[in-house]
Formats: sequence, C-alpha cells, structure tokens
Amino acid sequence: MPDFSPVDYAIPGFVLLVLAEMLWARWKRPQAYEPRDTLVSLAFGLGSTVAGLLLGGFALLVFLAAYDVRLFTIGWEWWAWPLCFVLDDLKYYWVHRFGHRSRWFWASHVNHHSSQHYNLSTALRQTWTGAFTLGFVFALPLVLLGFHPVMIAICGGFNLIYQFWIHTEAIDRMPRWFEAVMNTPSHHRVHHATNPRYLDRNYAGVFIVWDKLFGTFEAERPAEEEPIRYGIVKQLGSFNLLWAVFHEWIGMLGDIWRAPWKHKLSYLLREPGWSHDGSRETSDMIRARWEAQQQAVAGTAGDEVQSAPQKPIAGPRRAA
Amino acid sequence: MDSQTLQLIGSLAAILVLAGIAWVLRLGQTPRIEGEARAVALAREADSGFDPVEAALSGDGAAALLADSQGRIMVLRPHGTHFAGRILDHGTRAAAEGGMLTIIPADRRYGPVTLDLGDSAQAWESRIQTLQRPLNA
Repeated sequence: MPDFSPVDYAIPGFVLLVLAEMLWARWKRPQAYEPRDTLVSLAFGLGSTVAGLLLGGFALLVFLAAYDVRLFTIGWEWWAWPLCFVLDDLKYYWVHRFGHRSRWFWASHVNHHSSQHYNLSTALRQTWTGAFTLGFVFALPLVLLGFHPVMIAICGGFNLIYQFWIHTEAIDRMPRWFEAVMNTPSHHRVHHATNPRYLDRNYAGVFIVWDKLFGTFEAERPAEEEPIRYGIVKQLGSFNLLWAVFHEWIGMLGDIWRAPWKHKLSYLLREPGWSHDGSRETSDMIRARWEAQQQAVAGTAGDEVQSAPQKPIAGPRRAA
Repeated sequence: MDSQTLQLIGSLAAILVLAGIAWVLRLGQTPRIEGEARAVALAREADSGFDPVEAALSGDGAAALLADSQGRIMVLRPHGTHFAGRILDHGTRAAAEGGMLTIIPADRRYGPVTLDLGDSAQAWESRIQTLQRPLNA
C-alpha cells in the first residue's frame, strides 16, 4: 500500500506558479491580484490543511470500516488507477454540485467562491469546514466497490492538483479538443462567475464531460460581450478571514433558529437563497428574472429611446 | 520540532512572503467610481435585480448611493480592486455633518461608509433613516 500524498509535493509548485502569475499581473493586469485578498486566500489554504489533519481521521475510519464490507477486491492493479481517477472525478462532480445546491454543503463550499478575484491563489481558498458537511460519504460507493481508500485519496489529490492551474485569467482558451473534454480556465471562470447566465454551471473537476452529460454546461462568452464578475451573489465586502470562513454557517444557523418549525429543515437542505416567505432569491430565480429582463429589453429595444428621459441615469441594460 | 510543524511554519512564511510580494509589486490598486453611469452599472452588477433611477456620487469617487423605483437604496464602495454593494435595510444608521454622510449598514461586517455628498447629504440621511422593513421580511 503506497504512502504518498501528491498535494504535499505540489505545494512548492503552487507557490512558484502564484509568483509567476503575480509577475504576469504586474505587467498585464495589476487588478488581478490584491494583497489582502491573496493573504486571505492563502490563509484559507493553510487552515484547510490544518482542518484536514484534525478532522480527516473520522472520514478515514469510516472508509476503512466500509472497505471491510466491500463487494469486490480491486487491489492495486495498474488499470485500477485510471478507473479510480475517472470514477473519483464523477464523484467530485456530484459532491461539488451538492456543494452549490444544498445550503448545508454551500455553507462550507462558499469559502472557495468568496473572493472577487480569480487567480491561482483563489485555487488555494479551500474550506475549513468540509468535514461538517459529511461530504465524504459520496466516496463510499467507490470504497464499497472495492477501491482502496488510499487509492481514492491519492486520485483525489491529483484531482485537486489538476484544478489548481485552471484558476487563472492568464490563459484564454486551450486547443478545441482539450476544451471539449477537459475542465479548463475558460470553463472554470464560468463556474466562479456571478453573472446570472453563469450561476451554478460547470461543476466539473477534471473532465468537463460530466457537465455536458448532466446538463449543467455553459460555455464562456467573449469578455467583450459579457465580462465576468467573480465571487458570490452577495459579496462579502470584508477581508476578515474568520468572517469569510464562517459567515454562511452563521447565516444558515440564524435562519434555522428564526424559521417556523415546518421550514427549519428546508433552510438546512434546500438551495442557497431559498426562503420560506420568498423574500430572497435562489440562483434559479435570479437567472429566470434575468432572462425575463433580457427578453423584455430585446422586445422593447425600439421603445428605449423614448423612455430614457424618464430615467435619466439608467442606461440600457446589457448582458449582466 | 516534527515535520508537520515545520511544514506549517514554512507554509505560513510562504504565505506572508507571497502577500508581501503582491504588495511590493503594487498589485490591486483601489478603484474610483468615475461618474454616475459607472455607479449605475456597478449597482446592477452588484444586484441584477436592482435597477437604479437615481445616483449620488461621493465627491472623492470612493463611494456612491443609488435608489431604485421601489425606494430601495444601495450603497456602493470599493472592496480591494472591485466593488461591493449593499441594499440598505431598516436599521441602517446614517448621520450627516458638514456635507459628509456616514452610513453604518445593518450588515455590520460591510463596515461604515462615508460619502462627501455636499448639499444632498442631509436629504439622503433622511431617506435612509425612514427606510421601512420589507413587508415580507
């Protein structure tokens, strides 16, 4: 059984690539980095590692217990590695999708989206509270099939390493064949966008084919047509690290506390933005409203000149 | 000292060095809001459901107040190299003095915002102080 953590070996590379991207930003796009944002992102990464050391043991115990009752023994055959990697990436797609579609999971995953910047340091903005979501249960089918937990952990490590380089604006598009199959900076920029068109799209880790298969793929539009805004629907507006880590947990628990009994569970399990009184918007509601606005703008484009004097500062909407 | 502690200290040092390099390279200069049209566009970006019909820009371009046709008011200010907006809730505190308006949103983590609004500071103060709690909140 190999004793190997690929992420540990990748960390020096992460640091060097962040440095290289900063130098690129210095000459090409100084607003791509912000020192306080970078500090928060990297502190997230360090805290996430510590949280993993403190809390990851529970998941390992569950996996080892599940492995004892596995259906098959796949072992350490060479072919098991690529198979495990692909199935682990499929698992990642679904755990990631839940991370956006259930507030319990979102309370943890929101950490990764809380920066308004999109650079390689954002990739390291990893959650401290993932263990509280029990998201590791998504990997149990692989364990029960007979993949050894250590093999799954190593494949997961390589998956995480792959996802590092796609957090950049320095790369526009990869070759067409690559964009068709693999997750790329372009696809993942869409995932981090708050533009209504892009909300809750492109959940893939390594292979973008999962999004195409399950109907969640959205291609990036040219920046001049639709510039991307990164972050979350209600931007934090704060560089406070602890607030960034725990704000959604605090908000969710407050909502559960205040909600009528019959709605409490919904505030835990339903999508972010859901409210029992309709006072907030989910990503689906935001997209639907935006699409209605776009249709209205397209339908009344000729009338806009006439109505402009009534709203002297309100220019025409374009793709938001 | 065990290897994990060393790794932790090394990582912490690397973090501080990288953030320091970003600062030395002068990355991430704070932007200004250049005109009302820009403030309107930023407000729409901050909340795609907020369509401003009125804007007041701070004299230094560091922040803006916007109102929509429903009487809602949004405050907008830079956050790093970008902007962050808040639709002001009932419970927001506002105080005008000498043409300066200081707003403390009910969302305390957003922080206070001071705008140089000149003669209109008092009027905006009154409007913010009379914000009503939404009927369905």
